[in-house]
Amino acid sequence: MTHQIEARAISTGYGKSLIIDELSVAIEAGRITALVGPNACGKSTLLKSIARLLPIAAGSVLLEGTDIHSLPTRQVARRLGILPQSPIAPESITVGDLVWRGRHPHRQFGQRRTEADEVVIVEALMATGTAELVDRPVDQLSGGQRQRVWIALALAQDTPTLLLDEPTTYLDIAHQIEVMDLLADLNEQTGKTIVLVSHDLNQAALYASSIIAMRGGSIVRQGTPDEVLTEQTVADVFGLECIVVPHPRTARPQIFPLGRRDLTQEK
Amino acid sequence: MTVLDTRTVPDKTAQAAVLARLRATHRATTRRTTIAVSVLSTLVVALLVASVLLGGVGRVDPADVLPAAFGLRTGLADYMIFQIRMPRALAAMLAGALFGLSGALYQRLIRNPLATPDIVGISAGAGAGATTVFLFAPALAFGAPVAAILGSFILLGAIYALSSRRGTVDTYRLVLVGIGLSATCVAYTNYLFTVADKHSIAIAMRWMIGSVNGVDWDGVTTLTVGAVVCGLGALFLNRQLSSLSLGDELATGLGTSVSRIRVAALMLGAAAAALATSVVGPIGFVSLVSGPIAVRLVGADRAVGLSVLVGAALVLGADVLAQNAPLISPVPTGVLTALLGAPYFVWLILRHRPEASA
Repeated sequence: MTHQIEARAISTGYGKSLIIDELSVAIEAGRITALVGPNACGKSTLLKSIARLLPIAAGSVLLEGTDIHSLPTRQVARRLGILPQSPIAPESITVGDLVWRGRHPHRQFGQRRTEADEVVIVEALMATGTAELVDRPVDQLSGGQRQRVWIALALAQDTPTLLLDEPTTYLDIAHQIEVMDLLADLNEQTGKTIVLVSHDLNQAALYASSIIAMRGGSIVRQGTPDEVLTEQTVADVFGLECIVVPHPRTARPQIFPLGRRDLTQEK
Repeated sequence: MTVLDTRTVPDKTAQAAVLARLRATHRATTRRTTIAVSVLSTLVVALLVASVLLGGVGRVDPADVLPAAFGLRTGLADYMIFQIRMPRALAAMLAGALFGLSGALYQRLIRNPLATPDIVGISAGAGAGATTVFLFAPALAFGAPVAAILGSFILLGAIYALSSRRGTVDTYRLVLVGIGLSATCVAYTNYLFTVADKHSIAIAMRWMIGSVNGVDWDGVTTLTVGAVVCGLGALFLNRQLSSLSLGDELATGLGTSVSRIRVAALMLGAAAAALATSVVGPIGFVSLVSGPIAVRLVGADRAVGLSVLVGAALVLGADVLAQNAPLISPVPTGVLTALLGAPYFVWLILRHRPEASA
């Protein structure tokens, strides 16, 4: 199995305090990998460091075997796309114009939009189901529509690897599943390597083929959903007691949290 | 897993329909920009002509205007037209363009309509530099513009150093630090007034109010060079700026060198504001209103370019009014723009809400 992204003993953080200290991880090509863990465990930090959004203090990040920091940033942008948690939509921009921004790394200075660009944009709009919105201003869209437009922008960037930082936060359950389905389709049809930070263990188990569980800036476990989503690991990582049962349709592991209270007692 | 197959079996007709709509949207924005540019350009030219023809104080026979403009008439007409009115009108246009550009650049970079070079204190730095030259070395050729640019860069550097934390610049801190440092510059300028001689003070005072009155061809040359250089710089940065407006993280992901582009654009905006200020003084509120007006007209994406024309039209228009409006004329241009701009500023603060983010 080839490694699309490899982090070798990276240390990073904000200012003097290190959030991640000498972490190594390899992400396989053509798969959906989910980063899970409690708040402030460093999963977003890891995602940002491998996408060069955060400088690393030590170690190296390899993208398709090449050190990411030795490559010009535009070249990296043609191979690796990242959708951060809260991108900003410029005032009164239309969906079509916003998605067009995804072509940025492919354009030369002074070059106008080409037909090839337009075809990629149209494909991105259609794949995300946002083609109907093409002439609408982004600030008039609902949260779910807007998130799909952002994903369309990331698709227009047309990179073999796509990183997403909590792509389903702020969305209702139907829109969450819609976004996850879309990512699964993309992965299946184009072989795109997808890495996403997720707060939802059950969705991660359903859609990802590899899960990385983090706590306190280091990786506790990495493997298939069956390997990672065990009662023991969930207790180790989240400090949460739970029951793991197979999904009735897919047999993927699903967790049912057990709180402090005994909910079997009827009032 | 569910497969909603849109890619492997592409629906050619649906694709063509979306493509047509995408192009239509693009054409609509382009058309809107073309219309806005043509209307504003016409307005600017009309105001230029009006400014030279009307000219406020001093009468010139209309028949003498054109020959004088081309240097074919000597005497009073030549003096009025060629030495007073033309430089004045051109200075108003060019300074307005520079103010408009600087304001729109800063508003775009800092993502806050209040964050223009005059509000965050860059202009105060430029003013301190220019005043120093006015009071102590008035004979120095192009001393004021150079000192103004230096002053604005020093202030920008200080603001940038003080407002960056953990390697990134917090724009909220940038605005607050700028306001603080701008007070320091005003204190410095006031101190200079206590030690300078009376004659220089009178010149500096008139400049400080902000007026295109008495601008000579040297001033016009400074402004022309400034407008051309800053205009080309903005053109060069434009696409990186539109990527930057998506937020630092996404812009980095799209392959933009965020900090390098930001510093370049901040310096460009500071230089534009400093050059304009050094020649016509701090004409208030033009850099504040030009950007938002341009955004209204053509959307945020093309606003930086259009704000050049908006600024030019605003200062020219304000100056034509300042010279010719009954009852109030003649007043310094800066007084008039402040009278019109201040209410807008208050309104902006009252209705300001943070830009929506996804």
